[in-house]
Amino acid sequence: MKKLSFAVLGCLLFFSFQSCLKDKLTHTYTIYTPIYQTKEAVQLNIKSNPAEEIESPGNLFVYGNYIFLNEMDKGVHIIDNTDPAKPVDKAFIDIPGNLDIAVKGNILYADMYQDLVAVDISDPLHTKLVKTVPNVFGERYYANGFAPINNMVIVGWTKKDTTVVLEHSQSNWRYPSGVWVDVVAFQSAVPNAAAAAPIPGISGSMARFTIVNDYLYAVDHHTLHPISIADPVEPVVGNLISAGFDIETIYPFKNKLFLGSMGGLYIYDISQPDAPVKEGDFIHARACDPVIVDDKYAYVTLREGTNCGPTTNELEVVDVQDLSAPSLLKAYPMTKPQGLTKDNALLFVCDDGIKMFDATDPANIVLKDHVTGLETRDAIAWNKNLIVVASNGLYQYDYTSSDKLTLRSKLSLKQ
Amino acid sequence: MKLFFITAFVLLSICMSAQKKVNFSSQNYIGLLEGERGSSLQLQTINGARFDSWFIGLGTGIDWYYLRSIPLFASVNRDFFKKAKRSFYLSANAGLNFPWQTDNYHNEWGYSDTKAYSGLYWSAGLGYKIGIGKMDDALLIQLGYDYKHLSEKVNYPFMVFESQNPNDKFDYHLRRLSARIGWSF
Repeated sequence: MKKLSFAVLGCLLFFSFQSCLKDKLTHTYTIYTPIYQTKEAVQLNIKSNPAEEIESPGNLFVYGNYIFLNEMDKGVHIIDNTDPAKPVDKAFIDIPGNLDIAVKGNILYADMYQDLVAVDISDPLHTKLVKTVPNVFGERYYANGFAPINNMVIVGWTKKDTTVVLEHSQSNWRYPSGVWVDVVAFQSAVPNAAAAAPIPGISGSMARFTIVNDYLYAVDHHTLHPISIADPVEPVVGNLISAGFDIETIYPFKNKLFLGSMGGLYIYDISQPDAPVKEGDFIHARACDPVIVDDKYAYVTLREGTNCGPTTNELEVVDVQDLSAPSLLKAYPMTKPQGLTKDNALLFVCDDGIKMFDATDPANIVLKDHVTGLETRDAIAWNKNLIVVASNGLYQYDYTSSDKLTLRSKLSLKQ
Repeated sequence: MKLFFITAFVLLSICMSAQKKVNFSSQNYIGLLEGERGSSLQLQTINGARFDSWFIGLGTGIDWYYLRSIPLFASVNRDFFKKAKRSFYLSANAGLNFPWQTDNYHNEWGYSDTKAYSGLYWSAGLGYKIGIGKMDDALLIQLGYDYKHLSEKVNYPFMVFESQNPNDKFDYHLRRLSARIGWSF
């Protein structure tokens, strides 16, 4: 009898617990609310302001003894790199919405959301805005209720963390939160060798800006923008070129532009600078891919994840001697590579830190050194000095010895 | 985690110090979990010591409910009837629940920057054991209530301005009824 009572009790308890079966999912996310200023007020502040700590480093551009380092969506750090062992953060140019930069002569070109700004950097500590060209980058738009407001610019965000309980009825419990913005990023420019600029300017491989002679070329997701800078302080936007889908990077070499996209590598001829013409392409699996080029080969890193696509992580060496029909020479497995740079036979890849390869034989590159412990984004190698943008700072290495990277300096991020 | 092992050690020490006959015992279950997200399988193995009408042990297993996970827990059972071949028993488990994989948990395309984290696990149940043979072997039937918690951080790059890289957090509190059948020895 006792056992039967227990059995009945057990069943009763079991069924009564049915009401306690409600699963619960909470979603904690951040609500971003924009802070607006008038465009006039913003333009008045586009000048050298006191140096600020680096928080979210983006693309970089090396110009003479200076490093111009983008602070994503905020502006440009001016770093005096006269002594690479002791770089000094000298000033900060406030440019809201800035993601990329290019320099030619004494003019720095930068994006400010959809606008292009030209800044005189003759005296890096006393820069001044000389021109704003509005509505150049049409694909840089806001969504989710943050439509562009005439004459107002987003200069910052307030953040508020919020937790909500999601309903069981949603078939997929997870969905994006906060503000959605489709971003156009363009990166800095590399002057063509033929331009014989007295001061070399070098951009990273993640660039979506490049300067060739008197033209600034910028790419966004689908479009190539040729912008004449024959008059440096009066940029003139040319006809837009539909360049494909998911364009990410641009790299100039001789009279060609190499565009890296999620679907492949596109090659444009710029013999007629205001009218680039597609000459060839190399299609690869969907991935994010910065690209650099030397005389014969293009080096492309493919990276999976985020919105790049679930494909592969590798370095591809593409034979571009016949630009109408590039072909894969070899693919090397990587961890999760990002930017890359090359100085003669030495190839540097931002992958699980920074890797230095001997690429004398591109079909058989040899790893010479590997610095780990860094979350690297992009790098520039020039004059035996390797500058690396990492998530926790700006690193500089000496690669005089082709067998070893020797740390010279680190400019830390804001803690 | 440290607290879990200390608690388990203390419990085992208590039962060892009881100066009664203590034997190694193992309970192994296969179960069905039923909740709002449907039905799923559960496997558990609990190993420890049996003395008198008590059983104390450490358990682990695999839980396939909604998000596959591995629980690690301390377990306490008490038979209603001492030394009876057949008896009802109460069972209580408490510990942690670890995600089966720490990234790409949902394997959603485009959102591979995810990280899953462990959470609390506990369960309570009423069981019936049927002794078999002369040894301590027994068939176990148990009905119970299970809870597990997992959390996940998801990074949505390019969803906001590039300088803002939101990390959303999802907390899953999953409640199920369990029906288990098992074997102890």
